[in-house]
Order: sequence, then C-alpha cells, then structure tokens
Amino acid sequence: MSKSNPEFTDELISAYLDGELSDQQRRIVEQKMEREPRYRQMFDELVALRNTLHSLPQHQLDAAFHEGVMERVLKGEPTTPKPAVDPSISRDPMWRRFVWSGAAIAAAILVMVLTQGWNSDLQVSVQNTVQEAMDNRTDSAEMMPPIAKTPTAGAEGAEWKAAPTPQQNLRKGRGGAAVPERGGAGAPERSGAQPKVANPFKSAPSFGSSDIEERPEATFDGNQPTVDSQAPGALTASNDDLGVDAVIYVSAPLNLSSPNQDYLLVEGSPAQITEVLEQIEAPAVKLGAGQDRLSSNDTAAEPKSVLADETDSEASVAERQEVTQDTPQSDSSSVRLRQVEANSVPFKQLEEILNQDLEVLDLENLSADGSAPEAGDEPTGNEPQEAIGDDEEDPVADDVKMNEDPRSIRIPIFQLATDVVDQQNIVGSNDDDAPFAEEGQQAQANLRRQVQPLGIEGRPVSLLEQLREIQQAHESGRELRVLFVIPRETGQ
Amino acid sequence: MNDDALLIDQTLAGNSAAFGQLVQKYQNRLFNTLVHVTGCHQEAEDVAQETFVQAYVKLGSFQRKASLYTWMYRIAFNLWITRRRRKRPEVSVDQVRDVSGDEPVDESEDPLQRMEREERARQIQLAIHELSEEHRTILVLREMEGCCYETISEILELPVGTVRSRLHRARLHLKNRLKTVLEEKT
Repeated sequence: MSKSNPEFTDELISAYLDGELSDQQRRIVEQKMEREPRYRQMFDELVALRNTLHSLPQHQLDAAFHEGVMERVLKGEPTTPKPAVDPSISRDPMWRRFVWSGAAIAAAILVMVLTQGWNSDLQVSVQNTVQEAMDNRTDSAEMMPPIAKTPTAGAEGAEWKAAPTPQQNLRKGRGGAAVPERGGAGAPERSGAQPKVANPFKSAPSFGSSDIEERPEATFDGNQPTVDSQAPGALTASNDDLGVDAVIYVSAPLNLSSPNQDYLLVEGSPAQITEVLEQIEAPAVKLGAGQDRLSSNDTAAEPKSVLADETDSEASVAERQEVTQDTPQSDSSSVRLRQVEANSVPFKQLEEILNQDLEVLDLENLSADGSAPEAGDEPTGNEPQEAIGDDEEDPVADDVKMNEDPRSIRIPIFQLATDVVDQQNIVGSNDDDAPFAEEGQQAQANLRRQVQPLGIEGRPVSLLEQLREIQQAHESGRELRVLFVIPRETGQ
Repeated sequence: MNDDALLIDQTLAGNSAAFGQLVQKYQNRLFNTLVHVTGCHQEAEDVAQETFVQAYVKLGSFQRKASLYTWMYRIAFNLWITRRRRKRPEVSVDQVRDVSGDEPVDESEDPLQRMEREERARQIQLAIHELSEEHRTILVLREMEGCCYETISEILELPVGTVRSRLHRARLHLKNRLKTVLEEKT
C-alpha cells in the first residue's frame, strides 16, 4: 500500500496501534473501525496483547555481569566472535572428539595433487574423506544430499539425461583472478592461469585418532598448485554430507559464461579410481573423452548399484550413466561410473535451501534444467558406448540448457551443507556501522583453519597412494566412493 | 552532544570507565530483550557480554548514524544469529520457566496470586517462543524494545513494509496462542 493510494489492510490496525501511520492512513483506519466492529475488536485485542506483553517481568543482570564485561575489556581479551562451531566441541582437538564420541565420525584428508604426467591442463585437487560410523551424528543422514540416497536408473540400464548446468563462478581467482599463487613455476599455463589446486569442499580431518596429529598441514613446493579456499562451494559440504569417501575436483580455467560442471560418482578400488581419472584427462572433459578405455555394457553385466537399496522415487536427482570399465589394472570388480545430475541453485536461494531439509529438496525444480531426457537420448542398454563415446553427440554437452539468468551465481547442490551459512559473513552487516565484518571474516578464517584438511608435507604423493591410504582407513578396505567434479568446459 | 556521545568520546580517549557507564546504562535493557529473543537466560547473558566486549573493541568504527544502543543491538543480534546457526535451538520448557520468573518476589503478594502471575508469564513466554524466529524477533523489538519501524528496519535490514506486515502477523499468531490468557485478563 502506498501513501498516495491508501487502501485498507488489517495490518494497518497494527501500524495504527504503533503510531506508524500517516494522517490519511490513520483516518482510514479510524473510519474502518467505526463502520466495522470486527476491526475495532481486532484493535482492542491487539491492545490487550500489548498490555500482556508489557506485563512480563523485566530481567535484570547482577553486578557480576558488569564486572565480567569490564574485566574482559580491561584485559584486552581477544574479541573475535567465537568460531563457527559449537564452542563446547571446538575446545577439544578433533581427534579427541572422535574418541570421546565413541565412534569415529567423519574423516577427511585433503591433499592437493597435480601429478606429473597427468594432463597438465587440468588442475586437480583431491579431498579424501573417510566416513566412519556416524553414531553420534544423527543429523548426517538428514543432510545427505539426494545424490547418495536416490537411485534411479539402476536395473533399467544406462540412462542419460541432460544434466542441468550449475554455473560455477564462485571460484575467485580461477583463471588467474584473485587466488594467491604459491608456486606455478613449471606449471603449464592455460588461458593465462597457473595451475591451481582447489579445495572446494570442507573437510573434517580424522584419520584415526593417532594419525591426525602426525600429519603436518599440506605444504607445497614451488611446483605445487595453490590452494584456493574460495573455490566454488569451498567449505560448504563435507564428504559425509555427500556420502562419498573422497572428492576429486578436476578443474581448469573457467569461462564464466559457461562454467558448467559434471559429476561422476565412482565406486571402485584405488587403482580403478585412478584409472578413471586418467580417462578424464582428455582435452574435452567429457565422459566420452576416454571412450577407448570404456566398453559398452549391457544391463545384464551392469554392476549392482550401490544406491539401489536406498530410496528410489526422486528420479530427478540422480540421472546418471552407469557403465563398466575394463581397466587393465583393475581389481576383480568393475568400476562403476555414474553421471549425476549437475543440479544447481542460484546463490540467492542458498540460505532458503539450507533452511530446508535437503532430503526433501525438489531438485528437479531447483535445477537449471530439470527436463526429462528425451526419448532419443535414453539408451536402451546397448548404447552407452555410443552415448558417451561420441563427443559430437555427447548428451551432456548438447542437451544442457541454461534457462535462467546466466549471470546468476550458482552453487552445485552437492556442495550445500549446513555449514554454508557459517561461511557467510553473518557477524556484521553491510551497514557502514557494521562492526564485525572483519571479525566475521576472522571467524571464517578460524573455521577454515579448524577444518583445514591435513595433507602430506611436500609434494603430494600420488593419487593412487592417497586413495589406498583412504581405503586402509576403512575397517574392511571396501571399495571407495569418490565424487569427481569436472568442469565441462575444460579444454574447450 | 548527548551523554552517549560524550561517553563514547571518553572511551575512545582511553577512559574505560566511561565505557563502563555505557555498559551499566544498557546492560539490563539489552539483556532483557535477549532473554525474550533467545529464550535462554544463559544464552542471553553470554550474548550480552560478548556484545559489550565487541562494542568496546569496535567503538572506533561506530559512525554514530544510528543510536549507540541500536548499533549494539545489531551487534547482539548478529552474534546471536551466528551462535544460533551453530547450534540447534534447544529451548526447553524449563528454560522458559527460568526466563519468566525473574521478577523480584513481592512479600506482600498473595502466594496464590504470585503463582498465577508466574504461570501466566510462563505461558506468555512459551507462546513467544513458539513463534517463528522472524516473528519473535520483530515482536520483541517492537514490544519489549519499543523500537519504531524504522529502527527495526535498520536492525533487521528489512524494508519497513515488511516490518509492518510481519509484525502484524506475529501479533495475530501470538494473540491466537494466548487466547485463553487474554480472555482471562480481560
């Protein structure tokens, strides 16, 4: 309602009570209350409510409060906001937390890798997380993104669906922007950018109680990639949330106009996973890039989906391709690839989404392109090789549509987690008077330090070694589940 | 120059006792509001203390566009938001009882009357805490703090129109929840 064209709404009754109306509005309300008793009654009730609220006792602080404040002030105590974790937990070393909890919670090691012989154009980071028993983290299941909970294609065989396109331009410094460089000497240049290693995901290091303290923080020599803690989705999702053991972030200089990315969920042995990554190194980072190493697979030979026993109704969530791969050094089981839907949401919706339970997110509606695959795109079970093998016909690349404002910043849904909000500058506001912008950043920095994954000193060991290390951390040495995050535009 | 401005200047000049006066002046007001917002006596005290310490450190950046209290309340509100996001809200009935019973005991008051009054206060406090956070916050700012819409708008960084409509809805919700109490009172 505007003052120039006032119309009556019952909220004006409240504003009238508060003395927040213009003269004209006030007259309108008074006339309304005279003519319609229900509005007079509403007003009377609101007055009674106000009186009731004002009757509440006033709370008083004792003298000790004032003394406590002044003591802290005079001592010059550091006053940055407390770290964005429960203080009762953060006071203890993380490994001790896990010991005390009686169950290892989530473990993570982030190791930045830029291996020699690898596609030099690619930037690779690896975040290794061991997910242990989650007995005391009941909320983890709630926050498990649909990727790990909603199988689809499964027994029907390989299925392609146009992956919606998450824009991924949150990564400051990508392509030579604002990321501080630690090295770069000897690193191949591409689009003017030195290779960097991004740390796109939050990680909670816990490789077992004793292991943790022995691991120094990752340091890199001059040839090592830089760490970009502001990578897209940085510190936004733990692997626990993703339901994976590790995230391999394959990155490259981004073209902000088309910063799409694909996801692959791979399950297999360390050797197999390493093999898969080598398949991705082709100039055009698409599934089909390594087609010569991929064999078609009929449904009968399709491996059992690790997700098949879980929920099944949210078909929009995990549109993916499952293929098997014959790898020379593979173990007895085959590697399973799943292309997962590259869901994304506008950044501005982040908080709204975080306030929801991710389990019930309607990802189809949130995605940039939630359309179902066209009939012609859906493989019959005998076609996966063609579907993923022909770059020109690549369904991921061709079917992607950005039907929303391409300038909007997007965050892949998989990178959402409860901690995201804490990464924002909540403490303080945009106001000039906001006193805590700096503190908020400090708090975030503290948090990053707390969750800073532990790496391996010096040049990281090979990916294979790291994966084996992760595997060894598992009680059973089971297959690993690794999420590959692959910028679609790499090499194009 | 008002009292606050003078005390601020003195504080910035190194007179911490001046800041002590500011704390003394605003501590109960801030605490009382925070009790209603947080629903927890201890949480409110912690946030209040942290607020004053932060305000002391950042006093030099206070540009005096808003009142000192509004500025400090914004600090408190942001601190609480941050803390709340780290922890799930855990307001128990016991906490509500705790925060609703601070009034000094009037020895001359009939014990039965006192019990009834305390019970009513508890019901009101409980009803407040059953409101959504956005409704509760805005209601407390208006009713407990007496903030005008413009100030609420500044603190919560909401348009004034949103403040007005949200406040009205908050009142209607609370009125419905307190129907029995209000009828008794009338």
